[in-house]
Order: sequence, then C-alpha cells, then structure tokens
Amino acid sequence: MIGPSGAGKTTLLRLFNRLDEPFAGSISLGDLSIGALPVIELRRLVGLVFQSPRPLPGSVRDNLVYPCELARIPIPNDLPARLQEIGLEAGWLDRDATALSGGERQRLAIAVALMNDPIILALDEPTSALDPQAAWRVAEALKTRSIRDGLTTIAVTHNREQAAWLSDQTLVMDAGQIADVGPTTDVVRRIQNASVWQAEAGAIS
Amino acid sequence: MKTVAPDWLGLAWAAVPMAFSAIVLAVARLGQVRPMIVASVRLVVQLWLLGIVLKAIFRAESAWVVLVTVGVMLAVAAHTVGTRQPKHRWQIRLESLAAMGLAIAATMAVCVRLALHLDPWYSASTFIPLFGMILGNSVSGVSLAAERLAADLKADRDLVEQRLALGATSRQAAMPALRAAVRSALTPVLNNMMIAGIVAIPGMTTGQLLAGADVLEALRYQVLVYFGITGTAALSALIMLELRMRRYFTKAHQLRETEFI
Repeated sequence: MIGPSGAGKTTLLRLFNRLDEPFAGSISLGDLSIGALPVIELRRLVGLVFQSPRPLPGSVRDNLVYPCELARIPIPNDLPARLQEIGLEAGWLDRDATALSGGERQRLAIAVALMNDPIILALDEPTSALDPQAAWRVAEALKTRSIRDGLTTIAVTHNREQAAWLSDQTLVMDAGQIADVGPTTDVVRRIQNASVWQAEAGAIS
Repeated sequence: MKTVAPDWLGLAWAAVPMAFSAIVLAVARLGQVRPMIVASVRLVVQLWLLGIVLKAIFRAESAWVVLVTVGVMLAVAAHTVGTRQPKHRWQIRLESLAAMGLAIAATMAVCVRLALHLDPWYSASTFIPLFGMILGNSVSGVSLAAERLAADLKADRDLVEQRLALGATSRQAAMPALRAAVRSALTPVLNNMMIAGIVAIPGMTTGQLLAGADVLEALRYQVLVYFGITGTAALSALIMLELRMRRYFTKAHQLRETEFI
C-alpha cells in the first residue's frame, strides 16, 4: 500500500484489525463481514504491527510468548527459530526487549504478531528502520510464510522499488480514497505514466 | 478515671505557644503570621459550627436526618473527587458518587448491624463520625485510582493498542495501568495500618483516650475503623476503575482516542 502522508493508509490498517470502527461502509474477509467475527478472534486472524512498535516491558521471550498467554495456548518450543526467521539472533531470548534498537524492535514486533499464526498480517512501514539487507530478510521470511502457510501480508511503504519487488498487488491511497489498485507492475506503470505526464505538463506551463 | 476536657480559658492557654511563635515570626519578618491567625480563627469557627450542626443532628435521633446528612457528605466528597481531575469532571463526579456510595453503604451496613449492633442503626453519634472517617479515606482512594489510570493509559497508549492488536481484551491490555491504579489507591491506607501504633497513635484512639475511654475498647474501635476504611477504599476504587474502563474502551475492545485529547 502506497500513498502520500495523511492519505489514510494507517487508518485502513487499523480498520482491518478493528482497532477503529468505520463511520460508513464495511470490510469483509472473503464474504464474511469482519464485524460478524468476535473481535478478539479477528485480531488473531488479522495481525497488525504499528509503525514504530515499542516492545512490552520485559525480555524478548516475554514479548514472544505474550500472544500465547493471551490465547491460553501452549508456548511453542521453537522460539529461537522464530527470532532467526526475521533476522534476529536466536540467543537474544533473554535480552531486555526495551533495549532493542528501532530496527530490532520492528522485527521483534513482526515475530510477536506471527506468534498468533495470522492469515493476514498488516504492517505499517515495517522496514522504515531497517537497512536494505535486513529489510530483504524480513521480506523473504514473509514470502516463505505466504508459500508455506498462505499468509497474506499488507504492508504500507514509502519505498516504491520495495513495493514493486515485494508485492503482487499494489494499492494506492490518496486523501482517504483508494486511488488505484491492481497488479503491482500495472499500477507502477500507471504511476510512471502519470508522473511523466505531470512533468510534461509542468514543462509546458 | 477523671475525664478532663479543656474549658475556654484552657483553650486560651493552649494557644500561648502558637501566639509566641507568631510574635517571633512577626519580629523576625519571616512571614506566615497572617495565615496562622486566619487558620486559627477558621478552625475555631468551623468546628464551632460543626458542633452546632452535630448537636442538632444528635438531638433529632431520626433516620432521615442521618441519611440526609451522610448524603450531603457523600455529594461533597464526589464533587471533590471531580475537582481534582484534569478533565471529564462531571462524568467522574457521577461515577465516584456511585463507587463511593455503593462501597460505603456495604461497609456501613456490616459495621453497624453485625460489628457494632448499633441500636437504633442510625444512632447519629456513632454513625456520622464513622461514616465521615471512612468516606474521607475513600475520597483519596477513588481520586488516586482514577488519576493513575488516566495517566498510565495516556502515557502507554501505544502499548495498550499493541496488546489489543494481538488479541488482548480491554482489561488485559490495561492490566499494568489497572495494577498501578490499585496500588496507588491502596498504598496510603495500607501504610496507615502498617505504622498504626508504632510510628503514630491514630487520631481516633488519641481522641478516645483523651476523652477517658478504656484503652482496649478504644483500640478495638480503631481496628474496626481501619478495616472499614481499607475495605471501603478498595471497593470504591475497584468500582471506580470498572466505571472508568467503560469510558476508555468500547465494547469491541477499542481504545477511545477522544478520552485522551
């Protein structure tokens, strides 16, 4: 999902997870309105990672097992692998989570959201604090999940190249409206044409 | 044992150390002389008026008079709770009225009927002082709980929403704030019980002993009062937090942003 600041990208993600209620219209998952699902169930199915997530007080392990405690399900024994999956050190389980850097926090938050085994994961600028290599690692992990578990990821990004390289579908938001949506290659071509046209229009006037 | 109470001349003598300190303050130009005089005069006038009111209420020996009196006390207390909050004052006044009203009614019913076997139950000379002491502590408990919950939810709004997004209920998402609010509400009353008799002789015991009461009787009374105070402070804080949570969260476990702006 791309679009200028204030276009409503974050708001849309919050609506998916039902942290906010739409004033009008409705959101459906397949042909099931998300309002029909118990909200706690919905939030486990549709994960949301905020733009600059702050770890919960405690260790990395405390953060990872929090969704399991909420859902009262047994804690899986592959916690180190879950850290490695998104490019964090397997030995960091007992580190103080609040001492992590911005990029590490982003990756931990994704790992925590994945603990619920969601079917959709909504990410608000998930790689804004990551170097290209770390961002690539996260993207690979999510792609693997998509192939293996059928996970769908919706990510907000300001990085158009990243969008092109990451996604099958691209959605363009502008002023609270969906300005364009479709296969990424098509959307990118349309944006490029529009900007060329704008540049020419600018040159003439 | 002879009960001694100061007469008016005695009170004048009791004021001598204070008057002396006022003179020293005035001569040394250190200030606080006028506030000391104003406070002293206010103390005498206010307590004298209270005496007139209490005497009338005690003489009436009527359940209605007692109920109206404690109702007024409760309303003033709820008003005070609201005044100390930064916003939503009237909402908080109503909520604290309900919280303190329910909690203190339960405590007073138990104390009066089962613990003291007061006959009649509205016997004003017992009912009203007991009610006043318990209510005074409940006010601070309810205020502190509400203030702390508001402050912590505001400061950790992002963490609360992250917990919600992971599938936490409102209560689970607000748990650290709720725990802090309960701690804040109960610390003063629990500390009072901890230090009672060691660091300080409680005011009520002091009063009863000065009035010539039996020591053990006075202490049993003090324990009853402390139990009543702590029970009411805890219950009223819990009800208050429950009511506040309904304002901060929707039924669908969403944080109401508007409560914080």
